Amino acid sequence: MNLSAKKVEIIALKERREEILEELQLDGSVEIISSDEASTGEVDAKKSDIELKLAEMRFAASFLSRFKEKESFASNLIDSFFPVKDKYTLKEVGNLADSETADNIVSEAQNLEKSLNHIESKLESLTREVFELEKFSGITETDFEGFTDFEIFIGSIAAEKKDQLLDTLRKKSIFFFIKWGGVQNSRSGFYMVYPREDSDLVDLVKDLGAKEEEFNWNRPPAELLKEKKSEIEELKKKKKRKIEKAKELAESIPKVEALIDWYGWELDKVEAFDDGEKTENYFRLKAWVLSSEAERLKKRIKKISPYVLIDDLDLEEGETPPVLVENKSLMESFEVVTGVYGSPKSDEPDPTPFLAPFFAVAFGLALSDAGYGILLIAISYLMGRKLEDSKAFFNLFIIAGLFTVFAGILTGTFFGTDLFADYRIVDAVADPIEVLYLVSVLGIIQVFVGLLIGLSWNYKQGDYATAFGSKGGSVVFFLGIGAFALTGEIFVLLGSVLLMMALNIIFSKDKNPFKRILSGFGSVYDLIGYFSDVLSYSRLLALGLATGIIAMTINMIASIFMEMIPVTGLGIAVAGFVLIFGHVANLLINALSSFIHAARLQFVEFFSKFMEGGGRRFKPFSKRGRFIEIIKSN
Amino acid sequence: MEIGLILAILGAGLAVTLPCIGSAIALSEVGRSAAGLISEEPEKFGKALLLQVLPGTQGIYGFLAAVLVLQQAGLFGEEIVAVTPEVGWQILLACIPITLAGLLSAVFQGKVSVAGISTLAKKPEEAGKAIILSAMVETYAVIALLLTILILNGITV
Repeated sequence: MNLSAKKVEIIALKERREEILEELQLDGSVEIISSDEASTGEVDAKKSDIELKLAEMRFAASFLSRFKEKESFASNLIDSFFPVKDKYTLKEVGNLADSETADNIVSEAQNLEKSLNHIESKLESLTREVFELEKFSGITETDFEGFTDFEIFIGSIAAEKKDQLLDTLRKKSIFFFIKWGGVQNSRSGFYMVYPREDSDLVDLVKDLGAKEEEFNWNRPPAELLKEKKSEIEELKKKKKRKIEKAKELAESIPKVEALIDWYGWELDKVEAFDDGEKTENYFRLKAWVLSSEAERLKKRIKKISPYVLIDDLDLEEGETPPVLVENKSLMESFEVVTGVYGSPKSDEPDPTPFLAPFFAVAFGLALSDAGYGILLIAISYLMGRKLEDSKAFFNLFIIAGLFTVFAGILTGTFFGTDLFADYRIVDAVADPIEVLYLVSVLGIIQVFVGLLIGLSWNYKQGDYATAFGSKGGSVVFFLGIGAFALTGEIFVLLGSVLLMMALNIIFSKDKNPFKRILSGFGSVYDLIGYFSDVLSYSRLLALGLATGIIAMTINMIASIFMEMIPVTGLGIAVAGFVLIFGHVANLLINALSSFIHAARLQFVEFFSKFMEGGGRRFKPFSKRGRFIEIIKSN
Repeated sequence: MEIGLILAILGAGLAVTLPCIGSAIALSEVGRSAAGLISEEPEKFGKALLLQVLPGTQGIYGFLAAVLVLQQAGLFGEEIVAVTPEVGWQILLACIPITLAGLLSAVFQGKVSVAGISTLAKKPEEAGKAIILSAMVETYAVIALLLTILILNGITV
């Protein structure tokens, strides 16, 4: 059903705003219209408080999510399609917000992040130091005291130049002492003690490519190195402990997410108030309210404060109300199909109940295998039980699966075999033309029904010209086809075409008689459109054959494997694997294309007869969360 | 081997090869842009995969046509049916619709799917519409397949 919304204004005392907005949000049947009024800044402090809190919690959630237990690929994949929300009662999540849980988690997460960053940067600098020290690792003593007339040069040189360095120095002087450290990154570290007056030795060394290294050796490098290494070990252990702690804390991510939703709702309320017009004591909100809920909502709000005014407003020019499509029980599942297309306009019918039978039949014919239908029902049933939040979606596939079983019985296919061939009504592989007739009849019926819906809707809207002219004319033509099929008399068909043209001329919106006559002839053009609409249903034949023949091929490959592999058990095992994997994959691929093509037949061939779509979806001001769902307390 | 059988096998081979090439091109294009999206938002993998596999159907349609040809030519059965040159030519010609339409429609459907990936990136809640848009292109592969099937069905060996 297309629940229309009307525009209202809500005027209330400022001091009661919290209660009133809370009540509106709980009720969830209004959509607040943001006004052009500039903010008065009355609630800025509160707003930025909440925003800060939200930002902190989002940080905590995203930081902690790095430490979350990894889930399996399959469960992640399923979760991305069918997310499951945690269930909370209003009281539970309210208590959670009142408790210090959020503050504690946030501050703990902040501390953890800080100390992890600290450890990380410390580790980095230590690792660098160790790297540099490594080339002096062999130096265990650095007692330079007593070298009063000597200087010390600490440096490193490419390892292969060690001998060359010694040779050069020996040629120059005998009063020097070199202690080699070790090799790191193909450079050797060393220190050289040389007489103060021989400072040209340093230049010699540097000419050979030695680099002076600046080290503050208060202790021997070997000792330092050991110390730094153990410090690294300590830090690594500390890091591990912190990560353990973060992992533990990551288990409370759901709580943080619940609170993100909660504070999101708080922010919505503050923003709704901020958006409205205000006087000293009153505030005024404009909102869309579902027409069916308006009276009930009025009473509910009055209970809180008698000084609330809820009044209808007129639509401004060019303004269209938002649209909410809502159906009960089984029909609700078919909203999945409508949802893909988008909402109807506010003055158009909800197509869901109309498309339901046609979609199910088209899906069944496109998949058309009794075995696949049973498998689809089983999978959908199990998934629907596990993923409660997406139950409507899986129920759709249970219904679609049922029709697949019917279609499978019709064509006598069961997992690609013709096990039930004796009971079949048509053989799609041997006699595709028969199925082509069948799907064409389905197409004619659906286009005809679409036109009837369009006619009655136009009539209800008072657009008699369209109702009786173009829609009525087309309906007459389709009736003509029916009469022709029954009687075989060609003049019935021709008569219906003439009648159609006449209706188009009589009910044409044009004043100009020429244009009126032209529109009568123009209506013949519509027939070409209907022809291609009906032809479009032939895809169901091709898709049905595709499923059946691929299934047949899978069976054949399995039997070839069974014959080819001489080892008794192995042949059966391989064949079994091919059968299971092949059929499940074939079912998934073909269920997807059956869904898409069955949906397309609704969108393109059916909807165009009575609606345009493109309505804006009603976005209620409500406590609907991204992460949690509020349930009623028992 | 008889010329008729050769022509039939050629038809089957083309019907598989060209649409499969088309599907492979399309899937690789979509896959590349999907990989970019996944690097930012890995949780969209499922829907991206859906958009990627859409132009893969043409390959399957081609395969389907080939299986029908092999069946017609008796290559599955215990004994090979004598395929006359006329029938061989008929089978080869019957394969042309799905061969060409499969190849090209897959490539073009791939382009729509690539655009769909950006819809998925910006407005994930509208991904369903992107999927439908991509599937629109496939209509013509379906029609071509249908014609191939109907012709094959009409040929009497």
